Amino acid sequence: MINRLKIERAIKNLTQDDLAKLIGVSRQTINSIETGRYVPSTILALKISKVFEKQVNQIFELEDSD
Amino acid sequence: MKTIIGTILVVAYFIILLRLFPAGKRTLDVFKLNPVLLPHWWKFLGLGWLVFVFGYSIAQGDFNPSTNTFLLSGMYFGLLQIAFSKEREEDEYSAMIRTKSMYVAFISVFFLVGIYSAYEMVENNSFSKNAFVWFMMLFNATLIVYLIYFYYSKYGIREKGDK
Repeated sequence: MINRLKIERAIKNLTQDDLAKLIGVSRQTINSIETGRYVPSTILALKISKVFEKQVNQIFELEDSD
Repeated sequence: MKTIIGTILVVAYFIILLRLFPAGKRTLDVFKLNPVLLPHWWKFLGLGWLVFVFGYSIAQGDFNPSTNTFLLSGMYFGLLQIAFSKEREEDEYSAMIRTKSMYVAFISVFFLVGIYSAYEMVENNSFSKNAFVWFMMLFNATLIVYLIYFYYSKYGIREKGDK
């Protein structure tokens, strides 16, 4: 799965720490999602989409290998 | 002195056990089961206890686990408190790496027991002579494997993203 989290964060001018605080997780969680190490749960993905005011599939996208 | 510390430890284990499994939150459904970990500040109690254990051993001048049983049992108590307390921000990511680290530690137990059993054949009665020492070393090693893997997964892997 690929994600546009870093791009969306840059558009909103948010640091990893800011985003982490907004959705109530640790900075390491945001970093791991951005680097593709960790796939978030549906709940977390929905919280992220709410912050960026976009649909989940505009932020997270399936790859051919998924 | 050792009798007093031993009695305190027995009581402390019961207190921690009741804290980890409070009445009313017990379930057999794995999807509803959320381990009730100790609060984050408890980690510092564990670290303080470890300092006390090593300080006590230095004061006694005895680092031989066969004669200084407090070294291994005290170390185990400290590591256990660190292992079963929450992170500052406990979220689904830390819950996931906690589960995976426990899985790795669980596997390591079986391999360590395998090594013990093989060593028993190399040197006869090496285990049965010092069963307590070997037993405590096994579980201390398991907790250390768990903690190293957990913190390495959380902080050690090189981060590519910005801050």
